[in-house]
Amino acid sequence: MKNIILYTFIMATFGLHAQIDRSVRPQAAKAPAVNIPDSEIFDLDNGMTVILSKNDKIPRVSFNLVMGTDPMLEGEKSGLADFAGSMILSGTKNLSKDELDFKIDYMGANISASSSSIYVSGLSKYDNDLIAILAEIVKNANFPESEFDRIKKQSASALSMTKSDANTMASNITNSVIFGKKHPRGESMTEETLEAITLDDVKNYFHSKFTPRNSYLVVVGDIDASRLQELIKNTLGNWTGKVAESSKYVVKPNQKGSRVIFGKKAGAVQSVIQVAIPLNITPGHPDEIKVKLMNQILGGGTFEARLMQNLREDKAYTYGCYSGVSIARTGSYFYTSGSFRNEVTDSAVTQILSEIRTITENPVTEEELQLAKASMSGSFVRALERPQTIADFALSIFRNKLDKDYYKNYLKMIEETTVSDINKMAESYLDYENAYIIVVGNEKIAENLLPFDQDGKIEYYDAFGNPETGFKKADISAEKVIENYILAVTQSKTRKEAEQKIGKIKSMTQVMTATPSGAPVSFDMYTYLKTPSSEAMEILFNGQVMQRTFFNGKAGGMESSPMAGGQSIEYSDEEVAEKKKTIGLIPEVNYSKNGVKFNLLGIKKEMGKDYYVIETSTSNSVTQDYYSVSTFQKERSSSVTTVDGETSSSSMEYRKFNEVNGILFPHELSQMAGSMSLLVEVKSIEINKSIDDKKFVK
Amino acid sequence: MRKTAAMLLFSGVSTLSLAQEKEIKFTEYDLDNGMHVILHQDNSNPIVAVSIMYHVGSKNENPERTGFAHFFEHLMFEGSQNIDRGEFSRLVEMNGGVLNANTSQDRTYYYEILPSNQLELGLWLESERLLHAKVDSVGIETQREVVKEEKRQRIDNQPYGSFMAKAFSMMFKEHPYQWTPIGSMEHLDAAQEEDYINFYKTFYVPNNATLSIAGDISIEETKILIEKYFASIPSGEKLNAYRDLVNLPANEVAEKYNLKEKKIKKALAKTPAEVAYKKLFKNVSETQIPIPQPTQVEAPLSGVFTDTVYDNIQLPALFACYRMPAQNSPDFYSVQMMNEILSGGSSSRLNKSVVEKDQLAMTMFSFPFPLEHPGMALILGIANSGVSLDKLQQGMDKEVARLQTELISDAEYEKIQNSFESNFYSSNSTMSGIAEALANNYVYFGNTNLINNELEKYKKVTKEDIRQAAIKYFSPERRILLYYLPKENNEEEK
Repeated sequence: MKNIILYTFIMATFGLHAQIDRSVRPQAAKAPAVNIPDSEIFDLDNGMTVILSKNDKIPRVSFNLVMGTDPMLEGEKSGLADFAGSMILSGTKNLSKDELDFKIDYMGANISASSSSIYVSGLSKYDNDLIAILAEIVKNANFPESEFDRIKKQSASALSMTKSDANTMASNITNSVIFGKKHPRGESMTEETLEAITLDDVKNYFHSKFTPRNSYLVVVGDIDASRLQELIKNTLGNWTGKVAESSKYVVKPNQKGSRVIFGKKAGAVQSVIQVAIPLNITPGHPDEIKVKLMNQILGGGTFEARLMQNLREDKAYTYGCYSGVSIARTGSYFYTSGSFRNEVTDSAVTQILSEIRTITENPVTEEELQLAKASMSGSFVRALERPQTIADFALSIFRNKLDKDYYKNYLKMIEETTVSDINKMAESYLDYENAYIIVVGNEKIAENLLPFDQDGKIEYYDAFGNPETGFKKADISAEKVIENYILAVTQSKTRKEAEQKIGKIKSMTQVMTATPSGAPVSFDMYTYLKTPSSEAMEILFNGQVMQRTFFNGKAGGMESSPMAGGQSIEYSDEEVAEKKKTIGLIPEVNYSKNGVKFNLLGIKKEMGKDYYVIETSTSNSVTQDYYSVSTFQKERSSSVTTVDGETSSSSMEYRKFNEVNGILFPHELSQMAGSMSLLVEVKSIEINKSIDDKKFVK
Repeated sequence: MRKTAAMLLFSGVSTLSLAQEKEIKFTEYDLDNGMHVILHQDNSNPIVAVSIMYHVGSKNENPERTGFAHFFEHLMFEGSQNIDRGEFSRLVEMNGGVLNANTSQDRTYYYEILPSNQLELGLWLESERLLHAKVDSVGIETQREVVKEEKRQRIDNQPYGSFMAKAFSMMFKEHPYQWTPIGSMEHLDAAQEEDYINFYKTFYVPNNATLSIAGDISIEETKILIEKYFASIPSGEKLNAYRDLVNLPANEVAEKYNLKEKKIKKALAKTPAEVAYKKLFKNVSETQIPIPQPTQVEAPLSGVFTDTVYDNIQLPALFACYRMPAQNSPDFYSVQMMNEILSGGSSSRLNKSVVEKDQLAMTMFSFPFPLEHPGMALILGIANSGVSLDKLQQGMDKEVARLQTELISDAEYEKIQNSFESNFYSSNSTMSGIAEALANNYVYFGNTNLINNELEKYKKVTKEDIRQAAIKYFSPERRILLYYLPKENNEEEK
């Protein structure tokens, strides 16, 4: 009876559960307040800043010692910083590696080191020992030779594994193309750079980089400030050192046009696709949160984001497709990520690019923005569950020079973002026409990606983010290639016959018409050659000489009319010397005589044909000539020139070979310089016609 | 035999003693329909983890439909009677939460982590999933492809990715652990509507579900909400009848339950199905139907079985696999401690000897799969460049043999105790971690409070126990050896 009364009471209080209307969606209760406690911060005399975020929920504590400087360029020793980082825990003057490892494991502690930090965490009952070990390492790490050898061997194995890890390959390539090889983040360790690293390099790196000056000690967990200060006093507090070297790096300027970069992974059943776009933004920039919200809508980790909805939920191309923004002091970029089965790789690229384009062209909906806001705010609040987050905020405020209330205002800044802000962000930051499309996968599908590349050429990169040379070993010598070319171009059986034919030619006048691609006009070009070593060229527009180059074997230069810039340049002595080496109708004939160094790189496939590639170089340029493997005819040539640190590249294709006086001359040429292309048609070639010597001088 | 709601509200509270410091307090009780509820309150940050663990995994699958439990997990995000396709995740995300799920050999686990003012949303979503999830053919086809992509990404395209399927298939011939949760794609292709209905009916029922909630909640208010969304879900044949009522045309329901079609239509016109079913199926039983669990007992391994796999890898690897006791057997603690000696941390024996001193391997791991039935542990090494797998195997065996002959040192023993203590605190530092640990402890060990006395279990293991575990379970005469070798170029798929 009592039970029945109780039952009735309960039902009256809570409502009969039978009457619940399940189609009514629950409303949120009152929003809870978020509390971001302040970290305690104090400076030490040796230049360290200590950041303490106290939290006694669980009896653990962590110490993270972070150096204040950013990475440096490593060049031929790429990977040195990471190598040094992985050697830091190799023992100290007073503790062998075995002793150190045991001490750490004994406390149930974790320790790790990187190129610029050492982190140790464990039960707070061992706080004293943990900080003492940290101090012992920074003061007395001793880098034993045996560990150096071991880690070198291990790194070699790890590098070898990279070649079968599509995701690591893809991020190496992305970093390389986004930052370029002149920026620390564009570099990665290769087998060669690992080989170049010495034990002294490692020691020098550690001693110059690990210094208390401008460093941070981030402490999180069950410890209070007075105990911490006490523990620091005789440990890290008396560590001394100089200010570390640092430099600023510029991110490579944006490319023009989209590029497809392919990394080959043998036997891959899926392709890892990363579409990357450089972003001109730094941490704490007023646009940062808005850009992150924009990314959230596009592909930022929720099922509802556009990339996930389109590529997974609608098309089922993938298990997951995301986008992200990496915003850092050293450079920032946007990227998408995901793995897609071989057959849909190109369709996936189409969809990803189309989603990026759509968000730059059309406004997002209010609903999408609300979702992105809720999701970003939610993730912010969830992160607060980790005491580490509070300390990370404090560290970021220092390192990125943010306003001290930046994170306290974070939720408010999210809330204040509008639809039009998002549109502005997408439009001004996502330069989708100049995206890098990085794909790592089965070589078989690479050609399917051609349509996405501006110049229709897929670049192949290796697992470490370096362009693949793409050369097969040649079956004959460099000398033989040159010999066969000379015979082919002169249609001769012997070298003697060839030289006789060439010897009969004393001068040549070549008339050409050149049409820039996409331009409605064309201009005329004349080239003149005269033995022994004179050469000239004129560019005419409407019968007027706009530009000419000249050379008479002793001096030469370039002139342009006032309309074309009015320049006048004379060759330097060095240029004259180099010019003399390569002058002539068929410069290859004189390579040996003139001491031109030529190098056979191997056989390379271009547009489905195999070529022997011969490289020659001058003080400021490198040229590669492509000789057909089947006919030995020179059909392509490309060169890279560096002047005052600016690199420019150009290439030439030779087509329609017709005979003139027993020699095969190309009658159509196509030249590419930067993004400009020029189609050149040869109108006439006249041999041994007299040429005014004025053509060859200023 | 029916308990009243009152009884369960006032009887089930089992708050623990306050003796232990840093203890994780919780409340647990059963609903009438058999659902188990566990609540943990922590108001320090305004979030809440809402989770349901269904005691169904790949070991419950029909051998002709392997991979089904995991596939089903994907389908369970497709929607319900009141949630349209694609809306499930949307509702969570637009309210600032995250959600996901995973499937093991033994269970399927769903969770949402929400701002704490959205607790009710989490309960509603999970109750929709349990009561009347809905899947259409578009959803099935899409998720089938998504699962295939998941397999390609996590297994086919990963170096050494096939080892798990390979090892389990060699280790088990009778027990359903012989296949792994990802299962067979051919089986998924063959799945029929019947399969979906039966699986849902058999395993997605309140008496197979544990609702575990941790975070910024009030216990009393949460109980009221659980009453509302879950206690009202029927059990047994009555739940089947309700689901038939919402899924089948009225004439079929009439025939199946011997009712008048008109009566059904009339009831549905007047009230929603979740009310109408009560009257219509007054006489249908609510007795909970027991959940079928596999009963196969695998015979011990009779010897050493080896296989060689040629994979798209650069470095050869060795996987040595041994039969293990079930995770709730006392021996399992000994095995875990032995394992910690072998490969826990830099000072572990495999690392010190095989990786650092002899430099045979780039890396070595060992771990026992925590499984409900007797399972498997493996020791794996990735060889350093130029090291043969034979050499690596000798180095590995030497360390296992040492554990079988000598007792570990006192210092090592203390080390692993500290290590378990430290791990215990870190894994129970988040609300989602606590919610899952509580559910695990209840489902596998029948002891939710294990979260607070697990460390005692490790403390009870002696050095001799560890040696005995090494002898008993890590015999070089009874194991599976998998050799992974790099595929030659000419062996690449045509």
